[in-house]
Amino acid sequence: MELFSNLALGFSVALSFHGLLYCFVGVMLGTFIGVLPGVGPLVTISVLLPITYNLEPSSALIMLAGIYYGAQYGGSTTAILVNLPGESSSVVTCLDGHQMARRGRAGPALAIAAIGSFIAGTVSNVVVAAFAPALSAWALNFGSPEYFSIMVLGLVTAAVLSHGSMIKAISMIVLGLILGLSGTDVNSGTYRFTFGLPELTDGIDFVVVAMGMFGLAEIIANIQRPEAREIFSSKVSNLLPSRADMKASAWPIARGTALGSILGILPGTGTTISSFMSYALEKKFSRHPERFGHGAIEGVAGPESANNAAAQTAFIPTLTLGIPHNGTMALMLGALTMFGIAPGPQVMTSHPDLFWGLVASMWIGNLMLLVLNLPMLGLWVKMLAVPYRLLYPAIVILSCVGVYTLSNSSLSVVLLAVFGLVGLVFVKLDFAPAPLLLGFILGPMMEENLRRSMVMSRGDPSIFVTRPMSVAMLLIAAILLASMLIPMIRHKKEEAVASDA
Amino acid sequence: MKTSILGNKDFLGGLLLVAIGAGAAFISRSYPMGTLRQMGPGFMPFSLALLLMGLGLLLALRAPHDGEELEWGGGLRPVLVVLGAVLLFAQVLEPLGLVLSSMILIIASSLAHTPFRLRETLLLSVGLTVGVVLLFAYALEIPFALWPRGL
Amino acid sequence: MRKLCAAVFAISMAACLPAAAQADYPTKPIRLVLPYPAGGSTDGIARLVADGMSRRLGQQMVIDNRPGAAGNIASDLVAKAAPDGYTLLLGFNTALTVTPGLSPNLTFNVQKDFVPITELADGQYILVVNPELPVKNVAELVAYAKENPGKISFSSGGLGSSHHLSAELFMAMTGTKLTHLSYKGGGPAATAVLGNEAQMVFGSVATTVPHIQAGKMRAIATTGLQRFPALPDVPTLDESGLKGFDVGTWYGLLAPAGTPQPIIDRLQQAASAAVNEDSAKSGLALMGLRPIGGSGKDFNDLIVRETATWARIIKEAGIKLQ
Repeated sequence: MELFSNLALGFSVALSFHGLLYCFVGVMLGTFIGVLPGVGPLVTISVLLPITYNLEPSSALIMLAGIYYGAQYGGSTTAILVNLPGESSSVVTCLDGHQMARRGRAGPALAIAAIGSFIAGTVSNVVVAAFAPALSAWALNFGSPEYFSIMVLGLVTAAVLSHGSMIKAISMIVLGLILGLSGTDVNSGTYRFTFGLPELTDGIDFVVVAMGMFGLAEIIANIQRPEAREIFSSKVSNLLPSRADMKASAWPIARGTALGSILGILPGTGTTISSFMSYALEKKFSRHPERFGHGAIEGVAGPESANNAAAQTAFIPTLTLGIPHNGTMALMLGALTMFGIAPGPQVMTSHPDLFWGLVASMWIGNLMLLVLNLPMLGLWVKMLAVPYRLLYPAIVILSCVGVYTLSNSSLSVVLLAVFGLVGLVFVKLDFAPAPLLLGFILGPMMEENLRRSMVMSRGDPSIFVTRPMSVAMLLIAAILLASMLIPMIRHKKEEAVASDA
Repeated sequence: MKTSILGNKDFLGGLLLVAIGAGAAFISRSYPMGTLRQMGPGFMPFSLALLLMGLGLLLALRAPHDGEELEWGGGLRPVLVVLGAVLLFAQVLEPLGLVLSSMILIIASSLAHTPFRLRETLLLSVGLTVGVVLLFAYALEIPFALWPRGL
Repeated sequence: MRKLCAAVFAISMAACLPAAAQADYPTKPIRLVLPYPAGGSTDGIARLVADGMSRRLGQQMVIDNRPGAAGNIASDLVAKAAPDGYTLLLGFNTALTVTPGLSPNLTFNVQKDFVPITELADGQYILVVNPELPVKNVAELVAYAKENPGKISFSSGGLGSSHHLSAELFMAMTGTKLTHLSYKGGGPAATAVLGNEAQMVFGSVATTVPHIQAGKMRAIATTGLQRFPALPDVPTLDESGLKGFDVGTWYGLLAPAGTPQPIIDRLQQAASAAVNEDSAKSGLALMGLRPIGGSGKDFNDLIVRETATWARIIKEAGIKLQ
């Protein structure tokens, strides 16, 4: 079996002294960096890059990858504890994860995130190992019309996310789409919604919007409600998930893993859409969808598994096609080139030690994350016991400095305040911020793919329904939308009949 | 429950969306619309802005039926102090350097919390500033000016 | 207000800069402003150069990523910085030679506000097609495009990117009509050719050569005047009948205008040595780049020459930023 000999080679690299050491260093650093609000893996990796030149390529890549998924893991911790999503995929974790923390269940939330991530990481690793070449070929069939359709599907699932009014959820998505268009238009070079500010010509950074609308707005709301502040520490129950929690999470983890493993292969969109979709899926499958948004453990388990699975399979296009998934992956590709390894289809055959070493190390890294983090749960939960008056200035300063470092611009800090205010106003008016964030991420990509599809089809919109994968996704979106709207209309009718009688 | 329409969350929210939509439509009217085949940069923003206005209108019209009353409460002090502190930080960071502006931000944002404890806040600001400088300027090597320009 | 402060500061610095200070330059870390976010291969080039120069100058060279506005934010920052040799720009071709022709109201003037120190490295693009397109060379490509007008799509990394302008130049020189599909960056543009969404691209070495070797892309021609060493069998466009077709990418080091000559010379020597050391050479080669490290005058001539060429192509093709 070729797969087994490949994996054996991979583990021999990953389990070597250097492999283990750099995996450990990367994972620890990544977790630490990820926990700090506003400091992303991108900055860390770019600082460490010169150091890695002196390492073996496989050690360097193992360490960089460790920082990447370690940071993703650490980001979930911050999302759960203080409602600060540092990455697009942890937005969804905030929804129920932070609610769990507020109810004294930070421990189980963090633990289930770790367990779900580990299981998802293990499974998606097998996917990478067994199907990488086939999957990267499949991803190439995904053209602009397919990307457009999957984003439509993603947006429809975001409408499912919110509890409460559908109109409000859709409004937030549309507002997010508009905000996302800010910056330079790819097709024409036009500056849109930049208000004459050169700093805005590259658009608004996602982190600024997310940290403003979630983090800063949350801090202000907490200070406004003195009774809510100390809630965290007052009734901490057990640290580990109960048997019932584990049972409730089993299927969400399985579904999230499957969803994430598949979607992660699509460059650029995978991780975010997969966590949103997993959340929507769990809410649909749940017998008590009303618990979502109020600390449902399924709402943490599913999306966390999905985004971790996607983060791993995202390495497939990065390594085999040379397409970076995001800035962090681009940096890793840059590092590879520095070592004399051109990313591309031949990486697996020309540098099997590197490719399989990375695959094996990702699994070991995930195990390390689990082993390291479970004992740290208590520590994290204790952090919440720090009086809020001391905790919040720390969050504010870290967020502000972190946001500034995104592009070394004070305007980002100003925008952080602006989105903090926007978040406050919308929460007061009962609008949920999460759909806005998904719209914000998908807006520019959706427009780009729509316009390109129309150029390709010479202005014929039927291109979206004549390509099988595209039409399939649009159909699912339509069914999902109908399944939400029909009960709503029926409910209204019943209400009308009742009031007539 | 349905006291005044002006205090209705959905009505106010709907109006806000209409206003934002109108603003976005107004700005994007200067971007070329293009054709279906060659969509211009104005196509998406303008259509989305109209859609947002439509949604806002729908929400506002249904407000008397669905909407709940807006509760103010909480007070403006935390809002103004925290947002003000962040804006102040944005202004002073480049001229004053990381050290002083961090301390300013920490002290200023602490004012949002009542009662304000001076000694504790000063200690906190020193401690956090040391941490921030070590982390960002030294560990992450981000080229921050630490002190005011010209020193 | 901030600009005024900076200006006053700049003038006072320039006025009181004694000759002695120049002699022991540099006495503090040098800021290298980069028009890219952290990440990507260009960031890698900058770190490679900064590392080599730091060792030679005995002072740390700190990279300051100032992305945005097609490189204009970084250019503007350095153009207005104190001309003391402590703020430098790592510029690249499109930001310095294409943008002036595309956007009429820039806040700086490349040729007046900068002193070119040295061209660090240059590289060329490779014209590749999807293997399903039944053409093997430039003549066949042109013939096919003429038989099927508008049927071939080329991908680019955005309006006004080198990929786009190269294709415009190609169309102008061959009288063909190709459809433009624009993507966000060169990576996705190359992927589009792999998936046959676009049929051809003027791609960078990093995004095309591995796929050419794997048979997933077919190389038709290179865009420089000399053949690309890693692909010795692929002709240049110039020798394929498009006489004078010469497009490439380059990176160079620039200082604000008014920086004292001794400092410029010191930097030129350090940079030139840094890009020509073996480790840097091999790193650059992988990105398809060739180390240069020439004189400031050569670099200046290059900027002047290319600015004129691009201005002409932009005008002829009718490309406009709306």
